[in-house]
Amino acid sequence: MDESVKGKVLFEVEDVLSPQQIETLAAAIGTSAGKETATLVPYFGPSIAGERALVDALNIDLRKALLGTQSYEWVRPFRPGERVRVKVYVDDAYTKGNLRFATVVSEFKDEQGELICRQRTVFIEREG
Amino acid sequence: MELRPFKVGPINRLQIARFGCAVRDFNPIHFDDEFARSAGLPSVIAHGPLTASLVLDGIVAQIGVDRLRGFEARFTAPVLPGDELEVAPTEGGVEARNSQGQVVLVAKVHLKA
Repeated sequence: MDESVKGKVLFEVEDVLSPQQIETLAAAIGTSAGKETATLVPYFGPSIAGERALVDALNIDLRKALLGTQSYEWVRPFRPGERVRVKVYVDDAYTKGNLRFATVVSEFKDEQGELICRQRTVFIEREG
Repeated sequence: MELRPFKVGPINRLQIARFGCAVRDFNPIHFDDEFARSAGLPSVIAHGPLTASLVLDGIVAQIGVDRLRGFEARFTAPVLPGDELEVAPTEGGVEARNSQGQVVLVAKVHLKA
Protein backbone atom coordinates (compact mmCIF):
# COMPACT_ATOMS: atom_id res chain seq x y z
CA MET A 1 0.00 0.00 0.00
CA ASP A 2 1.32 3.39 -0.97
CA GLU A 3 1.34 5.76 2.04
CA SER A 4 2.37 8.74 -0.11
CA VAL A 5 -1.25 9.10 -1.23
CA LYS A 6 -2.26 10.44 2.19
CA GLY A 7 -4.30 13.59 1.70
CA LYS A 8 -4.75 13.05 -2.02
CA VAL A 9 -8.05 13.17 -3.86
CA LEU A 10 -8.18 9.83 -5.67
CA PHE A 11 -11.07 10.63 -7.95
CA GLU A 12 -14.06 12.88 -8.45
CA VAL A 13 -16.94 11.52 -10.46
CA GLU A 14 -20.55 12.28 -11.30
CA ASP A 15 -23.14 9.58 -11.41
CA VAL A 16 -26.88 9.20 -11.82
CA LEU A 17 -28.35 6.82 -9.30
CA SER A 18 -30.53 4.69 -11.52
CA PRO A 19 -33.69 3.05 -10.21
CA GLN A 20 -32.24 -0.22 -11.58
CA GLN A 21 -29.25 0.12 -9.27
CA ILE A 22 -31.58 0.47 -6.30
CA GLU A 23 -33.54 -2.58 -7.54
CA THR A 24 -30.37 -4.66 -7.88
CA LEU A 25 -29.24 -3.70 -4.42
CA ALA A 26 -32.69 -4.34 -2.96
CA ALA A 27 -32.61 -7.78 -4.57
CA ALA A 28 -29.20 -8.43 -2.99
CA ILE A 29 -30.60 -7.50 0.40
CA GLY A 30 -33.64 -9.62 -0.33
CA THR A 31 -36.08 -8.45 2.33
CA SER A 32 -39.27 -6.41 2.42
CA ALA A 33 -37.29 -3.44 3.77
CA GLY A 34 -34.54 -3.88 1.19
CA LYS A 35 -35.69 -1.19 -1.20
CA GLU A 36 -35.75 1.38 1.60
CA THR A 37 -32.38 0.24 2.96
CA ALA A 38 -30.91 0.46 -0.55
CA THR A 39 -31.50 4.22 -0.54
CA LEU A 40 -28.98 4.50 2.31
CA VAL A 41 -26.23 2.35 0.81
CA PRO A 42 -26.46 2.45 -2.99
CA TYR A 43 -22.72 3.09 -3.39
CA PHE A 44 -19.42 1.87 -2.02
CA GLY A 45 -17.32 5.00 -2.53
CA PRO A 46 -13.97 3.28 -3.13
CA SER A 47 -15.39 1.28 -6.07
CA ILE A 48 -17.42 4.04 -7.69
CA ALA A 49 -14.73 4.95 -10.21
CA GLY A 50 -14.45 1.42 -11.54
CA GLU A 51 -13.03 -1.96 -10.81
CA ARG A 52 -9.34 -1.08 -10.51
CA ALA A 53 -9.31 2.64 -9.71
CA LEU A 54 -8.79 2.42 -5.95
CA VAL A 55 -6.59 -0.67 -6.07
CA ASP A 56 -4.26 1.03 -8.52
CA ALA A 57 -4.31 4.37 -6.68
CA LEU A 58 -3.37 2.81 -3.34
CA ASN A 59 -1.29 0.01 -4.85
CA ILE A 60 -3.16 -2.54 -2.74
CA ASP A 61 -2.42 -6.27 -2.94
CA LEU A 62 -5.94 -7.72 -2.82
CA ARG A 63 -4.65 -11.07 -1.51
CA LYS A 64 -3.35 -9.31 1.61
CA ALA A 65 -6.03 -6.68 2.06
CA LEU A 66 -9.21 -6.63 4.07
CA LEU A 67 -11.82 -4.13 5.08
CA GLY A 68 -11.52 -3.02 8.68
CA THR A 69 -14.41 -0.61 9.03
CA GLN A 70 -17.13 0.97 6.93
CA SER A 71 -18.99 3.99 8.33
CA TYR A 72 -21.90 5.96 6.94
CA GLU A 73 -23.05 9.43 7.93
CA TRP A 74 -26.32 10.49 6.32
CA VAL A 75 -27.95 13.87 5.89
CA ARG A 76 -30.75 12.13 4.01
CA PRO A 77 -31.36 8.95 1.96
CA PHE A 78 -30.38 8.94 -1.73
CA ARG A 79 -33.17 9.47 -4.26
CA PRO A 80 -33.48 7.14 -7.24
CA GLY A 81 -32.79 9.06 -10.45
CA GLU A 82 -30.80 11.87 -8.82
CA ARG A 83 -27.41 13.05 -10.04
CA VAL A 84 -24.67 12.81 -7.44
CA ARG A 85 -21.16 14.23 -7.30
CA VAL A 86 -18.67 12.05 -5.51
CA LYS A 87 -15.25 12.93 -4.16
CA VAL A 88 -13.03 10.15 -2.84
CA TYR A 89 -9.85 11.01 -0.95
CA VAL A 90 -7.31 9.41 1.36
CA ASP A 91 -7.74 10.90 4.81
CA ASP A 92 -4.95 8.90 6.42
CA ALA A 93 -2.37 6.26 5.58
CA TYR A 94 0.07 4.72 8.02
CA THR A 95 1.86 1.58 9.15
CA LYS A 96 1.40 -0.02 12.54
CA GLY A 97 3.44 -3.13 13.24
CA ASN A 98 3.16 -5.40 10.22
CA LEU A 99 -0.10 -3.85 9.09
CA ARG A 100 -0.69 -0.93 6.71
CA PHE A 101 -3.82 1.17 7.07
CA ALA A 102 -5.55 3.57 4.70
CA THR A 103 -8.64 5.59 5.59
CA VAL A 104 -10.60 6.55 2.50
CA VAL A 105 -13.40 9.11 2.71
CA SER A 106 -16.13 9.31 0.06
CA GLU A 107 -18.40 12.36 -0.02
CA PHE A 108 -21.64 12.27 -1.97
CA LYS A 109 -23.28 15.61 -2.80
CA ASP A 110 -26.35 16.53 -4.82
CA GLU A 111 -26.46 18.92 -7.76
CA GLN A 112 -26.82 21.87 -5.39
CA GLY A 113 -23.64 20.85 -3.61
CA GLU A 114 -25.46 19.70 -0.49
CA LEU A 115 -24.02 16.69 1.29
CA ILE A 116 -26.13 13.53 1.09
CA CYS A 117 -23.79 11.03 2.67
CA ARG A 118 -20.22 10.63 3.82
CA GLN A 119 -18.57 7.21 3.96
CA ARG A 120 -15.37 6.39 5.78
CA THR A 121 -13.62 3.16 4.84
CA VAL A 122 -10.55 1.69 6.52
CA PHE A 123 -8.49 -0.75 4.43
CA ILE A 124 -5.91 -2.95 6.13
CA GLU A 125 -3.08 -4.70 4.29
CA ARG A 126 -0.85 -7.35 5.81
CA GLU A 127 2.88 -7.24 5.15
CA GLY A 128 4.78 -10.12 3.64
CA MET B 1 -32.95 3.31 21.04
CA GLU B 2 -34.72 0.02 21.52
CA LEU B 3 -33.91 -2.62 18.94
CA ARG B 4 -35.03 -6.20 18.97
CA PRO B 5 -32.63 -9.06 18.12
CA PHE B 6 -32.94 -10.33 14.55
CA LYS B 7 -31.42 -12.82 12.12
CA VAL B 8 -29.68 -12.20 8.80
CA GLY B 9 -29.28 -14.79 6.07
CA PRO B 10 -28.20 -17.40 5.35
CA ILE B 11 -26.09 -15.29 3.01
CA ASN B 12 -25.73 -16.77 -0.46
CA ARG B 13 -23.49 -16.35 -3.48
CA LEU B 14 -26.25 -14.78 -5.56
CA GLN B 15 -26.58 -11.99 -2.99
CA ILE B 16 -22.83 -11.45 -3.13
CA ALA B 17 -22.91 -11.28 -6.94
CA ARG B 18 -25.84 -8.89 -6.98
CA PHE B 19 -24.25 -6.65 -4.39
CA GLY B 20 -20.95 -6.58 -6.29
CA CYS B 21 -22.78 -5.55 -9.46
CA ALA B 22 -24.85 -2.91 -7.68
CA VAL B 23 -21.84 -1.18 -6.10
CA ARG B 24 -19.32 -2.08 -8.84
CA ASP B 25 -17.03 -3.96 -6.47
CA PHE B 26 -15.56 -6.88 -8.39
CA ASN B 27 -12.72 -7.77 -6.02
CA PRO B 28 -12.13 -11.45 -6.90
CA ILE B 29 -12.08 -12.33 -3.23
CA HIS B 30 -15.89 -12.13 -3.44
CA PHE B 31 -16.31 -14.14 -6.65
CA ASP B 32 -13.36 -16.47 -7.22
CA ASP B 33 -12.88 -19.35 -4.77
CA GLU B 34 -9.37 -20.08 -5.99
CA PHE B 35 -8.33 -16.47 -5.48
CA ALA B 36 -9.94 -16.44 -2.04
CA ARG B 37 -8.08 -19.61 -1.05
CA SER B 38 -4.81 -18.04 -2.20
CA ALA B 39 -5.57 -15.27 0.31
CA GLY B 40 -5.91 -17.83 3.08
CA LEU B 41 -9.71 -17.97 3.14
CA PRO B 42 -11.84 -21.14 2.88
CA SER B 43 -13.96 -19.68 0.04
CA VAL B 44 -15.20 -16.40 -1.31
CA ILE B 45 -16.46 -13.99 1.34
CA ALA B 46 -19.27 -11.46 1.49
CA HIS B 47 -18.35 -7.82 0.89
CA GLY B 48 -18.03 -6.02 4.23
CA PRO B 49 -20.49 -3.35 3.05
CA LEU B 50 -22.93 -6.15 2.11
CA THR B 51 -22.78 -7.53 5.64
CA ALA B 52 -23.16 -3.98 6.95
CA SER B 53 -26.12 -3.38 4.62
CA LEU B 54 -27.85 -6.59 5.69
CA VAL B 55 -27.46 -5.71 9.37
CA LEU B 56 -28.57 -2.16 8.66
CA ASP B 57 -31.59 -3.57 6.85
CA GLY B 58 -32.71 -5.34 10.01
CA ILE B 59 -32.55 -1.98 11.79
CA VAL B 60 -34.40 -0.18 8.99
CA ALA B 61 -37.13 -2.83 9.20
CA GLN B 62 -37.63 -1.79 12.82
CA ILE B 63 -37.19 2.00 12.78
CA GLY B 64 -37.19 3.11 9.10
CA VAL B 65 -34.54 5.15 7.27
CA ASP B 66 -35.45 8.65 8.35
CA ARG B 67 -34.26 8.34 11.94
CA LEU B 68 -30.80 7.10 10.99
CA ARG B 69 -27.91 9.58 11.13
CA GLY B 70 -24.99 7.20 11.09
CA PHE B 71 -23.79 3.62 11.14
CA GLU B 72 -20.20 2.64 11.99
CA ALA B 73 -19.40 -0.99 11.28
CA ARG B 74 -16.19 -2.77 12.29
CA PHE B 75 -15.57 -6.12 10.63
CA THR B 76 -14.01 -8.68 12.97
CA ALA B 77 -14.22 -11.89 10.93
CA PRO B 78 -15.04 -12.90 7.35
CA VAL B 79 -18.65 -13.76 6.46
CA LEU B 80 -18.92 -16.80 4.18
CA PRO B 81 -21.70 -18.04 1.90
CA GLY B 82 -24.10 -20.06 4.03
CA ASP B 83 -23.46 -18.00 7.17
CA GLU B 84 -26.50 -17.00 9.15
CA LEU B 85 -26.01 -14.11 11.52
CA GLU B 86 -27.64 -13.45 14.85
CA VAL B 87 -27.77 -9.72 15.49
CA ALA B 88 -28.20 -8.48 19.02
CA PRO B 89 -28.52 -4.94 20.32
CA THR B 90 -25.65 -3.56 22.38
CA GLU B 91 -25.08 -0.31 24.20
CA GLY B 92 -25.31 2.20 21.34
CA GLY B 93 -25.47 -0.29 18.52
CA VAL B 94 -25.54 -3.92 17.47
CA GLU B 95 -23.29 -6.96 17.31
CA ALA B 96 -23.55 -9.78 14.76
CA ARG B 97 -22.38 -13.35 15.37
CA ASN B 98 -22.15 -16.24 12.93
CA SER B 99 -23.49 -19.76 13.58
CA GLN B 100 -20.30 -20.64 15.47
CA GLY B 101 -20.87 -17.76 17.87
CA GLN B 102 -17.96 -15.75 16.45
CA VAL B 103 -18.47 -11.99 16.33
CA VAL B 104 -18.24 -10.85 12.70
CA LEU B 105 -19.42 -7.25 12.99
CA VAL B 106 -19.67 -4.66 15.72
CA ALA B 107 -21.53 -1.46 14.89
CA LYS B 108 -22.54 1.81 16.44
CA VAL B 109 -25.89 3.23 15.39
CA HIS B 110 -26.48 6.99 15.50
CA LEU B 111 -30.00 8.36 15.42
CA LYS B 112 -31.18 11.86 14.59
CA ALA B 113 -32.12 13.98 17.57
